[in-house]
Amino acid sequence: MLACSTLLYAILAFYYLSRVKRKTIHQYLVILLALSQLYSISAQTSLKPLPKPFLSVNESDILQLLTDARTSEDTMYYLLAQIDNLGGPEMHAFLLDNLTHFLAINARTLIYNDEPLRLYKEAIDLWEKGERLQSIALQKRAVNAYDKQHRVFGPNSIFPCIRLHYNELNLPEERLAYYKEKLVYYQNYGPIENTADCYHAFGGYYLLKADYNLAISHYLKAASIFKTYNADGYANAHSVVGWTYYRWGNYDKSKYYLESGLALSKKTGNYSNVQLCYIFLGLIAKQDKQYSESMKLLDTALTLIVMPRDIDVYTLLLAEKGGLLLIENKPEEALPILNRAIELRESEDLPLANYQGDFEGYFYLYQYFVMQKDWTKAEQILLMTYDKAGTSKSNRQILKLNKELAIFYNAQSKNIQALPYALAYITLSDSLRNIENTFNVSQYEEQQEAISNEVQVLGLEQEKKLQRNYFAGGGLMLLLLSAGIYSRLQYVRRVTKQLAEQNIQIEKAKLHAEQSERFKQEFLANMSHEIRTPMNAVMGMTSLLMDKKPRHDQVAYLTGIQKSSDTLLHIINDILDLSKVEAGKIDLEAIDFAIRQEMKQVKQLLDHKAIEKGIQLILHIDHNVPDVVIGDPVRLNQVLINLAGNAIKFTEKGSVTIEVGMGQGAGGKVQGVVGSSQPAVGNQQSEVEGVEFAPPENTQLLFKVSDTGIGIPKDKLDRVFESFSQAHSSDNRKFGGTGLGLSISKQLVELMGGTIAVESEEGSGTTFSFEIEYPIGSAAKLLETKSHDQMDGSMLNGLKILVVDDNEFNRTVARDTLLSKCDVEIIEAIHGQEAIDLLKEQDFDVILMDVQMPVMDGFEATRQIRETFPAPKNKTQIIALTASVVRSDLDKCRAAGMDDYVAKPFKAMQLLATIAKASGREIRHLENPASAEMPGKIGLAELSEIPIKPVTDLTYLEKFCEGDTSRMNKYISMFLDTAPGLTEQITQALAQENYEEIAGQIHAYKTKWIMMGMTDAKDLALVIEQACRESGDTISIRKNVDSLLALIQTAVSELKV
Amino acid sequence: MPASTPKKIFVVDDDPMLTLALEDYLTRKVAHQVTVFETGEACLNNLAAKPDVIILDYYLNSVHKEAANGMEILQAIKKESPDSHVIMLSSQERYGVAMQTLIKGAEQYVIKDETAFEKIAGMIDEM
Repeated sequence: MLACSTLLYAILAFYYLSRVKRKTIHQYLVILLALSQLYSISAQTSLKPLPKPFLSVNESDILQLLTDARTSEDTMYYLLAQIDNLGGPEMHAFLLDNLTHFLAINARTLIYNDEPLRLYKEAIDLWEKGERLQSIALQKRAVNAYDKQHRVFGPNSIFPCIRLHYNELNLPEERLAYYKEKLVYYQNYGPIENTADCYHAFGGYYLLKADYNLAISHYLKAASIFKTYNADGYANAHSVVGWTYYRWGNYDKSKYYLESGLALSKKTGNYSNVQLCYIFLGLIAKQDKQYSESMKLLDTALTLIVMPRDIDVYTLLLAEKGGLLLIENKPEEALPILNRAIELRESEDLPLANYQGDFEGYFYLYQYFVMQKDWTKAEQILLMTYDKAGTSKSNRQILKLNKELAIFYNAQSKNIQALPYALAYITLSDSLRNIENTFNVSQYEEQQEAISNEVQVLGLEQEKKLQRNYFAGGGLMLLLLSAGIYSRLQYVRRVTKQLAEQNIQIEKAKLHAEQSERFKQEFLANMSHEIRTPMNAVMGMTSLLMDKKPRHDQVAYLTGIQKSSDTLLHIINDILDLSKVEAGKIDLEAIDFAIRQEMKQVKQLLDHKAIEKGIQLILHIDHNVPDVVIGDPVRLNQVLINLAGNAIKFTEKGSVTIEVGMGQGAGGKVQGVVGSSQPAVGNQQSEVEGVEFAPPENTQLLFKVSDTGIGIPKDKLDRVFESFSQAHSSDNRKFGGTGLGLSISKQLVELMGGTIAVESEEGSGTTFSFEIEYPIGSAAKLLETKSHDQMDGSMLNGLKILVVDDNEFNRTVARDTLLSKCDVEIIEAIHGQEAIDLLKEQDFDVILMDVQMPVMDGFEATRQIRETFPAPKNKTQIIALTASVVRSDLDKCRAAGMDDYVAKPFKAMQLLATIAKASGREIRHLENPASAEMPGKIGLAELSEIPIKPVTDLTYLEKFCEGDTSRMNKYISMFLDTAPGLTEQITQALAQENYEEIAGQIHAYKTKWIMMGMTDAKDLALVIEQACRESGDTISIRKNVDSLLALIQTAVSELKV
Repeated sequence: MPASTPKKIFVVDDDPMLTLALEDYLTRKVAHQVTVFETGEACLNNLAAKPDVIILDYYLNSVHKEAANGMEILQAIKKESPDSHVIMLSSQERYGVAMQTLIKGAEQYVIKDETAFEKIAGMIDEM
């Protein structure tokens, strides 16, 4: 019976569920009621009534609610319905977590079917993980998803929260740009209410820039919109207008708005606003010299501190209280309070001091030392505060400090030191005033007054000194200087303004360029990863099908798929290549290779294309060309294939010729001086290398690729090597390709020390040529190069292999590829945890481990196997199967303890060879045969070898040692000696979860990072140390420690050379 | 500019790379007499030698766990010989830490970075 009715309810619930798409959150309530009925009936409990809505919800109420939230689902319904109106980001995360937990019991799909909610939750997770920029991007997507539902955002909902998040990241310009964009959107498409948050955000921007006039007008505009529908926003806007006026120095207006804001915030129950209003009212009382009133207001504010995240406000309060005590001449009472304020502030890592609590704290501490007449300390603290203000980018603080420093130094008779600060003060206050008074007319008088005040200040201070007959000469000089400042003021002002404007322009352009470069890199990395995962399945399954004796017509289709996916992979590789070359991230190999063989391979590879087009492909190798040279065959191949492939593409009849002969520089035979002067096909590196005078070992080779094709117009000749350009605008469509090939070729040739040149006549053909200098190699070493293309899978017979991958298609590819080539036993697991469970029960010879998986990723699983399993299971060979080709990920594979990796998409032979190597069943091949798999091989070979930027930089050490190499070596060997010990101790501490120890070990290394120029390591070490000391997220500590160890490892190998 | 006179300098730090580098740098131009101590306790035991300057690391127990930290040593030094010049050296880029050491009597506070050696040498010259 019960089962029957439950079923009925379930059907009813699903009926509702199917209708909730694109509906507002309030309609969830209805659905949830149905669900709750389902739940309560199946659990045989009675249905609880919904609690009455709260008139004003504040955070302590929510905390109270959430303490029993896991048991009271009705509360959760209510909170779900109210989610937009509750708390800050932390509260949202908490809430969403609880909701997810609750819904997991009832209907897990609900929250995840609601796109905006799901995105928002993911964004908050990312934020907490510290991936803040990505989080903001996701938050924006969530806002867009909400926009589709045409929602009006409430207080504390995601849209206004983005503002706060940008604040924390200290990205005012980005924030401004985002809200501008959204303003236009909401003005066009509505809901028009949401424009209020945009205006509010603009206000914040101008407040930061000390443009108070604009700040206030925007806040008031926001307030007028909020007024009708969002009481909290309205109260907030009034409060903010209040403290903006305070900053501006208009205390009457400030007081008016603060009192209004205070009353409104009390009504809405927004205590942090109430508190801030009290603080600023207190500060105004202080300005009016009503000190006891001020103290009373500040104390009221102090009693309102409830949430720990108000630390920013709390420190401001303490600092101001300390300041008041100083005014009341109670320095002994003030000192501990000031110290506490600074300590608190330092213990929290708040990136942007919204209310400048830290600044005030330091400033009052400075005043304290002045009162104590401890000039040295006062000076130090003032200078430190100045440095700090510089980083916080607050003009107001910098202004105040410049003035204070000028006065301070002047009082100390250090006129020369005072002068720059005085000048800086005058110019800065001038430019600030210009901004502030954009809409004011009466600026001139004020300015003049301020300037003469400033001069007076300096003069008055000086008079005191004169009375003391102390450094009278200095005083006179200062007066003269002051006069000088005064008369030159107009000039200085003009020049500074121009400079400032130029600087802003330059900064903007620079920022923009950096941003787009970063986006490009991110995009490329993502794209490569995203495309590779499905490509692996497509290519793998196609070749599996090919082996299953398909029908004739099926073969045609499969060949089509194979060719298309090869082309696609080729295009991806091209794009990746270009970005790597441009970033200078390609390292050349220097191995012995059979150059004639290599050239033949290029021809073989392109033959079928030439035959298809009915043209001849001719290869000509001069008899003087040596058999073996030392260089990078893959890159040479790539250039020749690009050039010749291009030539074939643009040639309709006739022939394409690939030639290699002796270059001009070296002549036919081995000669003394190599390539010291060649004008036309200049070899940039030859001069450098010529210094070595190693006559019998170098040869200069000239490569030419010529065709009888359509040719390139004269005016386009100089542009053919540019990225994304083909000679004829319509060529793209006609000839296909990315147009990147030539650009890559040019850069590769330059990297190999040559210069590429092109000659062409329209209608009759084009010739590309380049010269490269190679050391002559030895045939003996060639034998060491091996290839796995002709491997037979039988050597793997009998192995037991575990395939761990969450993507079932990719599991299928790995399994069937192996089973079709060799007789092995395959077990599958869908994530790391399952792999670990399986390994507990059985033994495997090899584990093929995907990296990114749900539940437990490949890194973690590997680590657990290596660390927690008894021998010999902990030594099981693990091969990473990764679609990521980013170097840092590959380093992570190694750091996690993986033995090798295969990049997806992989070719069957590659997988077999890697397994053979890992399982010790490798067979060495003594030849280097041509292979029909060349294009794929090139792509994969170099993808798995993304070169690294060196992690060490000895510039500093060299400077420090004044170029003395024996000294330098002393430091380097010191680093090399201690590195293994550090690695061991950290690894050990990590295993024991002794984070204190990790922090200590890493801490003691700071000088070493500096001496070895390991900037990345230095930054990473700081992050780890902090996380360890503040008991941060252990997973990210582990991740970072792994990366750090990898960096040290790389550094050691770099320095050992 | 008058040439700086050679001084007796104590360096207290448990990072050998730092002490080597600092000694190297300080003895290059002026023949300062530099003595290196790995722990603060060792330095305290030798205070009788009356060093002109003590360069003291803030975080002294990263290697020797039982060793006292720089703050404690600073206080002990100041108690025993209140007139000695102490330059506090630290990788802590926190102003609160700096304030505390200055309040406790350190003369200067230098953060371990690329410019630290230069700064210290300059301070010693000025003393």
